[in-house]
Amino acid sequence: MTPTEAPLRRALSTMAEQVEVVDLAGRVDAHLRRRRRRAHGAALLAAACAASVVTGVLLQTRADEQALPTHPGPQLVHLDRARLGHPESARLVVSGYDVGGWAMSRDGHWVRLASSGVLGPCRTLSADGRTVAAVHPAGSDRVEVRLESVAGPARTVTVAARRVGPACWAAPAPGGGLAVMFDDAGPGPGTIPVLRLVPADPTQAPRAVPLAGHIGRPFGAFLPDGRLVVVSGTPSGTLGPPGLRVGVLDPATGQGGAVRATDGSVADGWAVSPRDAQAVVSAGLPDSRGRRSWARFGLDGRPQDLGHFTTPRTDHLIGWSRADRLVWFRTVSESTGRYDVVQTGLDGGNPRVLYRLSVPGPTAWAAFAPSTAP
Amino acid sequence: MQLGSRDDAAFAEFVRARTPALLRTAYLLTGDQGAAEDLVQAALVKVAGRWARIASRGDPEPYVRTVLYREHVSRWRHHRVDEVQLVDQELPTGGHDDQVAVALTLEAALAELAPRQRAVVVLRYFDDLSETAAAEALGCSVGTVRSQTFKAIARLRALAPELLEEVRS
Repeated sequence: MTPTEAPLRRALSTMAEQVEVVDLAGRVDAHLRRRRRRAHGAALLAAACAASVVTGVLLQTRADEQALPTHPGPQLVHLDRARLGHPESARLVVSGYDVGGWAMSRDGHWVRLASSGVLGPCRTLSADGRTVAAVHPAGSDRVEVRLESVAGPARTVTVAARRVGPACWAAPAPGGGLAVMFDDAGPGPGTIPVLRLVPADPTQAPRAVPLAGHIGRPFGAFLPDGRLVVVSGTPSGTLGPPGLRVGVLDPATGQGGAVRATDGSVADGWAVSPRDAQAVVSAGLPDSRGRRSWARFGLDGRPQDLGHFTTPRTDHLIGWSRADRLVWFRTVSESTGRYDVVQTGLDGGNPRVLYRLSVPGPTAWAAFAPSTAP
Repeated sequence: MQLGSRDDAAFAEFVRARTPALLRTAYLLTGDQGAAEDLVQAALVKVAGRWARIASRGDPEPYVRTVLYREHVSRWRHHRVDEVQLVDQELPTGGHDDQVAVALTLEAALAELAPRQRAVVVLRYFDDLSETAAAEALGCSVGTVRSQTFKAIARLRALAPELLEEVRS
């Protein structure tokens, strides 16, 4: 038997096509001009007044750097039928720590969020893709939740809490309300975390719902039927036995909390089905191959474990499309701000790069929301 | 590009026309978009000052590619510590039959090869160069290309056998 390299040749061609072709002419030209001017400056330096020439070279170099092509910024991409395999539109939101947030409208245009520069890394995208909620501690007894609308003005909701952990979470609720999770309300670690349900009517007081069965710092998302999925993860050796806990809560009554513990460590991402009561929870850190593991749950009645899967190399789970595909975010090159949005089946099969993004600066957070229309 | 002479204009035209192909090769060599851009830019800057002489010998692309490959190996020597860390990476599992999955597998497998082995794979199976031409591009002997190819293929076969079909000889 001898090997034939035909598959290798095909794979090389496929991999080569993944590179984003950029125009390097401007960069090469600017580099050459800088070099020429430095050489010219050095010659003058040898011949005449050193100090004045050095100043001139520095000024010219700075002017050259200003002439370098600026970063192109988020590229225009369309989340349409051809890309998603389903007649739907969707929203993708990408933001960085320093450069603020960007949201993509349904027609595929990028919109810079109005005051996104103040957004912290603790952010959640509403199920309809219209609102980003960002949480800021505001003293020892309250937090501020800034609600950034993709297409309108921002507003801030202040929610009281006895104690706020270093990270907390908020989600815009269907109908204009808000769910805010606090670390815990007790005197020390290990006590029950508390959910504050903030009504849309500002004259009504928030309702506190202790989340029995959860420890640590839960987070979650709203299902299409308005119920809230709550996920908490406990790493080994911290506040209790390791594992993920998934519960479902009815915000109208505060009732629910059926919890199923699974193997795994801290959850780092989640997605809910836009069509029915299912959720996917991505668990913990990637393995040495860069793969993520996740568990899928059915949430009609008591949560049911529907299986555990792995994905090709990805960074974060960011959404669930109407075509029943999971959407993942992957860093290609942080130094150049290049990222992939990868789509897989619910079992991790058929990975496909939906598009390659250019985002100025390192990204801190990304989210995906399918359209609300079926 | 703001260049004045005829040679500079010819160089600008070469950069415009051949950057996509050079980027594809550089991406296979580096596995990183940003590193590929930096590598192509460095190669182009190196040849710019000698463009008139290079172009007077005929098609300048082979020379540019030689600079590209040698720059790649040179950079690896300079950043050897960073590259060694890649040896611990494992491959993504197979099982996905679409081309992207295969490309991801290849990407991980190439990261496990030494830079010269990776270069000979790209030269021989992507650029379709002969052993002699690959040796010229890398500045080494034909025997070295042959041995590096043998080692690279053996390593790829161990890491990702689906990249190499077995046929009866």
